[in-house]
Amino acid sequence: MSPCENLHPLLNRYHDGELSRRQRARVESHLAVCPQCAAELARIRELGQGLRQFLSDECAAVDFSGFTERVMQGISRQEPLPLAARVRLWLGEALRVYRPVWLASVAAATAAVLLIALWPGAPANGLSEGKTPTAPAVANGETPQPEGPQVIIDRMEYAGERSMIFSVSRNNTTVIWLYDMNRLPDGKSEGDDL
Amino acid sequence: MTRALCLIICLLPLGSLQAADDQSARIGIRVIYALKDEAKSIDPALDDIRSELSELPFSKFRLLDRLETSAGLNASVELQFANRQYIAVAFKGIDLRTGKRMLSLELHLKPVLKIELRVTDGGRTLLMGPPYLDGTLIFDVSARLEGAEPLPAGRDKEKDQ
Repeated sequence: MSPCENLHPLLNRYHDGELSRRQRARVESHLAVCPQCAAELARIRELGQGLRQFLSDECAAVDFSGFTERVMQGISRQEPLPLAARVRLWLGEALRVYRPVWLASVAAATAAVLLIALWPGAPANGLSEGKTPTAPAVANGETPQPEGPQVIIDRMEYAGERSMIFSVSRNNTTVIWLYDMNRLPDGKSEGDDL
Repeated sequence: MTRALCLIICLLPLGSLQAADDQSARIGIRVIYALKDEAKSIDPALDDIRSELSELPFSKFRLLDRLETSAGLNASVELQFANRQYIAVAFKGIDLRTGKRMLSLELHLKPVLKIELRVTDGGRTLLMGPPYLDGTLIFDVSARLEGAEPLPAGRDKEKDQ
């Protein structure tokens, strides 16, 4: 294949400025020694200039007066979709586009519900949890039995931050769970006394 | 009649006072090692609290140590465990403010926890949290009045329910 045949497909792109620096140098060095390719490039330039001139003349002949007003009138005449159709459209898009998100959310919520429901020893009455309570607390729930509380916490000082107090079974048993005790600083596990 | 009423009203606050100095309580402390494992097992020595333990988030329970003794008013029962830590239970007296006999106790899991509480006669407190080996220590603290007369109207029977 001759150099002209190799470079001929590149002339259009050279004219449009799409070649890399190396390709451009290669084309230019060939054009300097090849009058046929130089003539072809000149023809491409004439064609491009003619096309630009034609489009410029055509655009000058078009009347754009009132164009914006006509477009705006067309927009304002469009009736909004009914609410049901909009909801249906929104739901369809949400379910389709955000499918992984809501699938993951539903799965996480289901797992959380199962975990809470099946957690062994979970306090049924929603009991005191958190930092050390200082006020008297009835540890067997917000709705004490008619017989009265089985345990009353008058005062509690805890070096940690998270504790839970709850009753288990009907045998007058109270559980005090210090569930961040394994994360207490060394100074608190063996150091100063409360 | 009025005098009698006044006398009763004046004496009512005395109901909240602690019991006489000769009161004593039977305090029991058991140190239990609890572990999460696939296999479930409970030390036969802990059969009396099997139902309570089965509600805790552990599967294996083994009794490590136990202590049961009488404690007079303001006396303390102490049991040492790992890393120079120890648990102390002090009997602070009898409380009748709720209309039933309750034991005032002070639990001291030294050095991290100090708690003052009132439990019904025969009540049990499971204190869990200190890490030990691959598991957790649970302290089973029970308290029962010694030589106490039952309260009227079956007030002490809820412990058997």
